[in-house]
Amino acid sequence: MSDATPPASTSPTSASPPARAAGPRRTLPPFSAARLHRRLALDAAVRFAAVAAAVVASAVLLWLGGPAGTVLAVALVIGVLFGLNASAASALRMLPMLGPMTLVDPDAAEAALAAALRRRPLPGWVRLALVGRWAALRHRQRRFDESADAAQAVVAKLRRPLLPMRPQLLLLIAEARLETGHVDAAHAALAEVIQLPRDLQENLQHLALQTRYELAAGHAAWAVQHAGNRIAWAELMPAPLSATVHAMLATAADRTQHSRLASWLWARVELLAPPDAVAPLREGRWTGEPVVVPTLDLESGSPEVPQSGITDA
Amino acid sequence: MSAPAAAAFRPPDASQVAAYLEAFPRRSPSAWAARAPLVLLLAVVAATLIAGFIDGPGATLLPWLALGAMVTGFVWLGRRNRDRLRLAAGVERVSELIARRHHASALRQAWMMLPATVRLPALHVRLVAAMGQALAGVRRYNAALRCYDDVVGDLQSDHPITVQIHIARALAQLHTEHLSDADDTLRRLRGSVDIEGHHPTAAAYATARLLQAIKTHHYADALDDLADSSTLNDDPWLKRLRPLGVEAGYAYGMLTLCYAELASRAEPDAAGGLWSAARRWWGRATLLLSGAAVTYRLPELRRWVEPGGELHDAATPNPFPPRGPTPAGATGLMSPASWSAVAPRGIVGTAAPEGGGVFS
Repeated sequence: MSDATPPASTSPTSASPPARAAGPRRTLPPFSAARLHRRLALDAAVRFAAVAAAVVASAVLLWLGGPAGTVLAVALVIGVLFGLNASAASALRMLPMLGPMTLVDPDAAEAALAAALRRRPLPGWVRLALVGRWAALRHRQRRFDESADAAQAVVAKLRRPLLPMRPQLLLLIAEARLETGHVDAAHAALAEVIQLPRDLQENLQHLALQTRYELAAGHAAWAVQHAGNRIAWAELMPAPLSATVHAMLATAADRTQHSRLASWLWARVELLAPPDAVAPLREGRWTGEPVVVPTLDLESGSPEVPQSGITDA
Repeated sequence: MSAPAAAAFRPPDASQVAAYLEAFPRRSPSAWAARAPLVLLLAVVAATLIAGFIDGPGATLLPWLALGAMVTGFVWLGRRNRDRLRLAAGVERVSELIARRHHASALRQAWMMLPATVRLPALHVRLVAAMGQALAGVRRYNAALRCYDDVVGDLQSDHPITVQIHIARALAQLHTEHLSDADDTLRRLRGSVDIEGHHPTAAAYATARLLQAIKTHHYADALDDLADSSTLNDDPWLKRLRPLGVEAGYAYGMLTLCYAELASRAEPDAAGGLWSAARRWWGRATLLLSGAAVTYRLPELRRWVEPGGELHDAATPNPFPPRGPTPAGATGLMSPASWSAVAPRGIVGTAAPEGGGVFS
């Protein structure tokens, strides 16, 4: 079983049968948590079997072979180690590129992701990192049900090298659940995020989603309660998101009869957002580009300052 | 030169920054370290092959010893990589501190981290650029200029972040009265910045041009750059500066200053319209930022907006008065689209005078 099965016809109007011989599939199938679990179990079994076979074969060679057997045993151990890690290494090399590709060219990102997920046997954490990217891609494509399911499946199985991804995945789940109207599920994700260490970007995204949740759940008073602090954070956001958060707080102030605060916030919105964006914000339409843009990098998520000539090894 | 872990840290001056950068210049990464995994692998293969041609216990032990050495080597490489990731996370923390206006803390951390990054040029460049931002945030513009001068030669041309560093450099040059250098820097950027666009880089460029006009007392030229000052049409400025977010408040302060200076020299019949434009822009500036934050960066504005000035009552009342130290910034106009390098918008603490120590 593969995460990326051979392609169906690419054109919806084409009458040709599924082109099984046309090469590897360039799109991902609908996400299935059960299939992910099967893949993880199969990968683990294959890796265990390969290591066990190498150990047994090495023991036999050492016992029977003398110096030549020793050479063969060492060569076998090295071969198995490199063989098992080769697929993981190429998938890991692709991982940092998938983030920018998701933003710039989602189709190319999907094809690369499908190719990476076809490799086997992958270490479990590498496959989970790739599925995290899958969730980010679907989020970008506004396929929120699938993105939330994929992120939820990854969060449930997160282990050590991937733990820094947890806040971003939970924020992604929260936004996807808010987009699909599952306010309680969004609250559960937001409540979990608040207990985790977060960087500045995650803090700002959390603030935006928390405010949106409070408005959706009818808790406008909560949003207004700490408005001063929230405004200070919103000032650190890029202008469009800052305008959206200001508009949410203004709406909350309107609903709770804080008219002076509301008019001050709306005046700020009019400076932060272009005129054609203010009307939808006044109508409570917060959805534009998704707030959560997960980097999901295992190392520092910041952009490198571009250099010419010298680069890090 | 080593950086003692002292709690009392005062922003360095330009000569101290220059000496520090000279003591810890960035170097190319070690070629051997880059090839270590391949060397290790080849060594194991060679040892295994040699073992095939010799007799005795050495033939049995040699391959296993080589394998052990390879595993040890990879463990060492992994540790080295983790150290590098820790450093990258540290640089990220410095960027966050700058974004959150804690310039003094950011500067202290960057200063102490710099020696560890000399073999990691990309991190070194980021750290020096961040030091420049933090120094400008505490109005040490001469020192900031040293940092920007150190990094500009090693940046790819035309990259958005490179352009923003150049704009920050031009601002530091303007603040230090290096007007012809600033003009040169801005002139060179003209080809690489889409100055008609509506994005943070174009907005930062427009603001640098405004500051240039103020420093050279060409107030009318500044307004003619974009809006028609005779009709006081200010929408194009709003459109141009909006991508800066609340940071646009500083630019609105600059527009206030331009109109106020023009109004003070205009004939009485023209002055009324100019004063009303100045009041409108000051109202907008103080809607986004506190008046103290704007005048911290633009002291020339004080005579118009402080008690007794013509614009004193034009400020927008803020329902949330600033808490704690005066927020103000310096190179916050370097506001890129990326989150982590988001603009600094102020300082925590008052400006230290030029001169004085690093650790005291």
